[in-house]
Amino acid sequence: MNIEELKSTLEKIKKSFKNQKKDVDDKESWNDLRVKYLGRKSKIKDLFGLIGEFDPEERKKVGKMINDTKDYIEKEIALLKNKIEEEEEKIKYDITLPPRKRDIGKEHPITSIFELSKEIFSKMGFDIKTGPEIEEEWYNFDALNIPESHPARDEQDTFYINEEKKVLRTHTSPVQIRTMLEEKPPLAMIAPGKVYRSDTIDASHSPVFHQIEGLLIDENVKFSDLKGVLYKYLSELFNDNSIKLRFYNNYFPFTEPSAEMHMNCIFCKGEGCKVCKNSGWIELLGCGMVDPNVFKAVDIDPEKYTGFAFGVGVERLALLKYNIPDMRYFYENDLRMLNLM
Amino acid sequence: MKVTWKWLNDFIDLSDLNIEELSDKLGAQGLEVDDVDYPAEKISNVVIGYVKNIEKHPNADNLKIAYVDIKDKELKLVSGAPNMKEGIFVPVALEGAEIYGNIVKKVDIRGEVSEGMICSLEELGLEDNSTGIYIFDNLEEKDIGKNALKYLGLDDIIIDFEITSNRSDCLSVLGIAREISIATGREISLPETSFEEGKNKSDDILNVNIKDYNKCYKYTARYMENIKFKETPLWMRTRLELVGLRSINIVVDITNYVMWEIGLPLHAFDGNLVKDNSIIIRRAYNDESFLTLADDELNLNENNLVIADPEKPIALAGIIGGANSEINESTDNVILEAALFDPVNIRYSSKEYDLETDSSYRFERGMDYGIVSLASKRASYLMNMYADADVYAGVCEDKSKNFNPNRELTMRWEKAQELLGFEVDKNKLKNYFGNLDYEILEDNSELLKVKVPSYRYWDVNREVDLIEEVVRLTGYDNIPMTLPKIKIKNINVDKREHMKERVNRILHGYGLFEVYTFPFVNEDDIRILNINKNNLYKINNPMTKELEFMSNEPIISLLKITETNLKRRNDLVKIYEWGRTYSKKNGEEKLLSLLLTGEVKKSIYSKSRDLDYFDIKAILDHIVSIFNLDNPIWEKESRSLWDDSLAYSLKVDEKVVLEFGKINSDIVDYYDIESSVWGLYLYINNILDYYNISREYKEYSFFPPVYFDLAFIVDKKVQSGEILELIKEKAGEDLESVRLFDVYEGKPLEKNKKSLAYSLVFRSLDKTLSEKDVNDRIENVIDKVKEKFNAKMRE
Repeated sequence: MNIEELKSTLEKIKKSFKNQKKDVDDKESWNDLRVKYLGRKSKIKDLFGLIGEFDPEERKKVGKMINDTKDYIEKEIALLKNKIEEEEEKIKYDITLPPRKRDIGKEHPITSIFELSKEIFSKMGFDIKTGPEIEEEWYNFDALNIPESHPARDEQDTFYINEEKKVLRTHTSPVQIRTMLEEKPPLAMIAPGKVYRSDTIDASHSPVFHQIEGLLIDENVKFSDLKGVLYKYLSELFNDNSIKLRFYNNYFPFTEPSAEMHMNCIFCKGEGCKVCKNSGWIELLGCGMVDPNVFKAVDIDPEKYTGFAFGVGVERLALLKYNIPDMRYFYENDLRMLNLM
Repeated sequence: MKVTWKWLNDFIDLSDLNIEELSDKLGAQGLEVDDVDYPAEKISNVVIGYVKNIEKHPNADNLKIAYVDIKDKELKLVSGAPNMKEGIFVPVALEGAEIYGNIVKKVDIRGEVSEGMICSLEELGLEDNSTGIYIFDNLEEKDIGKNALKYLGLDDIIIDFEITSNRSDCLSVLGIAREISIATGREISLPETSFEEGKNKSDDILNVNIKDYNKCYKYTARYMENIKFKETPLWMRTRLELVGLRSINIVVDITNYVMWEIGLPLHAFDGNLVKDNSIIIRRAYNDESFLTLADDELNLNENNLVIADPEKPIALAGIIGGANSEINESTDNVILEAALFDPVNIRYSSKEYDLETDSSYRFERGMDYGIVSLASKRASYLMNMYADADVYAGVCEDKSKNFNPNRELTMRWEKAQELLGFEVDKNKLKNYFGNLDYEILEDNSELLKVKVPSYRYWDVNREVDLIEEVVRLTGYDNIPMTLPKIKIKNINVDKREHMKERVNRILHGYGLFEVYTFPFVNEDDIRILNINKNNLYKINNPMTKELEFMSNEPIISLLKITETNLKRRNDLVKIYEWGRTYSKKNGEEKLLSLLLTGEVKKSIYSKSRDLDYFDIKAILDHIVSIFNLDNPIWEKESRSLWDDSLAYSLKVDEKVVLEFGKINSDIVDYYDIESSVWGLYLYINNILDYYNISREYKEYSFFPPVYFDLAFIVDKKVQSGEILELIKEKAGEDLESVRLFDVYEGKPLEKNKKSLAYSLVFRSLDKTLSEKDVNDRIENVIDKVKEKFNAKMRE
């Protein structure tokens, strides 16, 4: 046998190995293949025995040729083993079958905003308060410096009910009054809750919606504190330290000075988009320093104490935070939305 | 409050200003721009045309053919206008012109082609009912072919401001100009008022007498005669239309125009209809009747303020005039009122008769004492100019001595800084105040004393209001951000929240989703539920019939949500809501409402099935397990919501803490739901007492257990739970647990029998039990069960 003949023999072995490999489909046929090509009686083994027949200077080269073929077959045999084991595994277990899964429920997105807000404010030291939804006019209006004699009283789109001097609360602000009457300052509280206004339902209005009221009263509470607290709250809520806030003068009878707070649009980062109506800013909440007339109504000395208050619409926060396109979706409660988000 | 750019420009130079930037600045000052509208965008291709000659339409007597020069060419236009004539300048809409969304086309009118349209003011949106085409005055040949919008005053911008209820001073073009002056530093100029008054004095011919100085602070009346009812000039008419007012006649238009421009509502009486030229401002008499110029018959009372002559009321003060003294085409003498009334009185009278007019809207917000005379003069000037009125000199007036329009206020610098949290630049601020017509009376290191301008009288009346002016003028941006030191007072764990959180975990584990609903019921819900309507809170001013009553049965709202979901083929509905019930009897009560219905789909592990009693029962058991209820008592619940064969309430200490079961199928049907619906209410206030945040350790055994299985054959009517309870009772203290693990009916059992198999586990706390140890207890259990339930052991 010369080198050329050896070369062609090895090629033949490789070729027939490749052919037979195709038919291997289980452990048994795999083992047959292994024995045939790598076993003690295999052709390769025989070829190793022929090395001595070659010239001494050729033997090294011949050895390497045979070894290369053997290595090739060994590698292929090993790969084939993995493949067969995997196949057998698949027959035994279809791991893509649906697991024994339970459907787990979830809270509503409005609750998510409430919970996040409560957590943030609790960490800052605010208490959580609640109050009635069927509220006395005095708490909803008069004590908040919205007397019947003032036109501001008409601007709340109030639902009146068949009970004297009671309304469906138009804001969570009466909880401020209740808290100030129950406890002496210093006071720090938020009041999450449902409120009612006779607003026609559309993508951004609803006759029933939710607010979070905030109130801080102590000696030396300043407008700058209000700005700081709102920044902390919103940057945490939206998980974004780069938010920008701006304050525009506005009128709320229960605060003075009052402001409407805008946040730069989180969708377009202030560039202008559909959500912010190309203004780059989104109206988010009303706030201000507690009006001395409110302090008078609850018998707190406005010379000794100052305070700030704010009220934010929860649906609005949820629309922005979760990118929900329409406020009506909150009240339709389609289970697909609730489940997927 | 709508104003137009050009109108504002009469008072303040707006050149080089950009509306977006200006809106931003005004917004920061508290004057929010709601909307900006460009009327010119709605009308295109309308030009000035000159009617050269007219021919009769060959096929129609009432139509004419006009040949109209539009500079580059002559158009043939068909028109039916009665005022069509040769030699007039008219607005022509060319072929392809767009007017409020309508496209003007070449049309064949009875056999003659019209190459466009000659417009009336109605067609241009400037009048309600036009009787003919519009004919321009004073145009010349050079105007032909030019864009007509400029000539019509429509090349303007309408800006709609949202004016907060404290800023009555901004309910006028002048007031908004003042705010622009703050924003830009440009000066404002007052409108033209100089004209030649007559020799006769108003004071000589008129009589004004205020009877109640607390309700009317100042009343001035001016007399004018020889009024000519000329057409309202187009520029005035256009402005009125653009800001949302209707043009009526020259006299009314002028009073409206001045109200819009300067702020003060004016009223014009027909001089001939006011007896003795004598005006009395008095309280109405009880039951005094008054017919308004809007034809409402009012039955007045002594709380209403009226303007009267010696015989009769001629106006409900500050709200609306009377039909008996209304301006009409035959009016030739006018008494012009410019006055100031008590805002609260106007507000109450306006509310009482449900009459909100532009006048009452302004007066109830408080009008400026300082502009009464300006408004009267401006209106007189316009009457003289455009209605040829001979205006008598001066006014006849009466005014209250109780009312002092000069308000002096003091602001402590320290207080301002304390409240705002930043160092105020005093000099800069004094300048700002000066520009805003605040007269500085005193100024030192501690305080600033000012006289408030009369137009801010109603709004700025305390130190804190001046402090708001400080931030309004210097900007909120100057205020830094700081964090307050909040004193920790209450750190109590909220028991209710803690309980809710635990219940939520259970509910989510069972696959329930939280929903938020509107807590209302309508008439139909009430009827189907058979609720006593008198026990419900009813909304007096509901928006729709859907939102009329506060709900005392929150599951109804859940049924509505379910209906929507099922319609959308969300076939399995498991939902809950933390809400409230509202009833007159029990007020407002917090509760958890829960609803299950629908089909669990077939899977590779289980068959498809409808949710049933045992699904709701599992949730119920789990919820109940977190409370320590003392002697709970189960009772059948028969309220109409429930199916009384399968609904129960749980009472503790006489109070219902929960209800659960199957919802009445008639009700379910009504909401188009086909499957059985299961519901639950947890009355939070009643059950909270039995909730304990803390948990309790129970000792458990480390010794091996002994198992026993027992199967009993009993009558089908025997309840498995009763046997279970008996086993627990009789098996002795080492019984660790017992559970039912099989129920069998059918062969070889007799037809009315079933087999119940229980698995018992015994364990002792202090030794290893052998079967022998528990044998006699098992025997005891078997005997007792056999005896009580007539049971046999199953082999």
